[in-house]
Amino acid sequence: MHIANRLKVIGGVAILILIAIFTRTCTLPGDKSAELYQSQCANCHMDDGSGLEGLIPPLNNAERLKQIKDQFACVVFYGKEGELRVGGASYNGNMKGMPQLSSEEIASISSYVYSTWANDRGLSVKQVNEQVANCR
Amino acid sequence: MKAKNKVMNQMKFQIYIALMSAVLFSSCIKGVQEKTDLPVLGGEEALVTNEDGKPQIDTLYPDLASFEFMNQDSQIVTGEFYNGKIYVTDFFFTSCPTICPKMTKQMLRLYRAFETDDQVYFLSHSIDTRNDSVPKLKAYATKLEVEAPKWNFVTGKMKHIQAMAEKYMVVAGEDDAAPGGYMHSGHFVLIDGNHKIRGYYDGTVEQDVDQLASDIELLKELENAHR
Repeated sequence: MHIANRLKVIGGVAILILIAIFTRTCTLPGDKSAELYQSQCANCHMDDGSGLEGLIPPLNNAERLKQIKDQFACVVFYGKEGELRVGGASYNGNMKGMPQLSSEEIASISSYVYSTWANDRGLSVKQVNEQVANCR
Repeated sequence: MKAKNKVMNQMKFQIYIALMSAVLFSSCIKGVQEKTDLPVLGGEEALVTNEDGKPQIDTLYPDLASFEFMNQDSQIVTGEFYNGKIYVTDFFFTSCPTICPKMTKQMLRLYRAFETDDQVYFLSHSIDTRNDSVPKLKAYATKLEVEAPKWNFVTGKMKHIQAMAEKYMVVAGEDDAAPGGYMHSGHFVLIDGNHKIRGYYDGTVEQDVDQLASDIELLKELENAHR
């Protein structure tokens, strides 16, 4: 009897802990892509990917994301400047590159961006490495 | 008897938990508060000598009316311009990689909300006086599609900009360790028609800016009631 009760309690507590972890991060432990996006990208591109009208292009544009998929890692690593157009608006800013990020981190960010706004997988680590080796 | 007590205790316990949860939960839900007054902030009590030569306690406020800067249209902006006007002010710089884009986005939201309201204005000071030239500020404002003097982006001597930041009681200054080279807070400060501080809001938090919008409406009512 006692053992059964104890098991129930332990089981209940374990479930509560899992729920707490899950609802806190909304992701399984080990998936840091959302956190990376927050800390590396959201300051400028905003939490909802909408950017800043006239100054910072949005990321929440599926068509645009598909267009740039083969340069995504280069942009994150080396930055980007000069004129570009997204969704009918033009931008001419200066994004600083983030060479301090690892390929895993860039892949992780791409997975967050593409799954959230393009219903697509992001880049694999291999793809990131290939891109960065060949950036123009 | 024992069984009944046990059931009663369990029920009490459950009611207690439910009440506690309700209390905790409701404190997490924060909507915009409808206020009836806004405090006047920044006052310091000091011993002053009155006209009769007698000492008395008086409240002194920072002088927010005395300043002179240049805006994105190369026009001089002084405190006098803001006599009788409500304005929201902040400190930023155009190349800021951290909190500024969010602040600008929120300020833009306020600008659009009060675009046709000739009682409400916006004043952003650049703390990067070296790089944020008038043409740079002009380009920035043009991209946002906003106009002076409704939203003035100003520059001037660094020490004057810093002096104003101190008077508004907002952190802003050079800092080698900070990203971009400048450290500043993301506060929006609400100023009334008499150059008094009426509120501080976190310009990077949407709900805070919602509260600010509501407080601006209240401040308009309070000011218009005195006219």
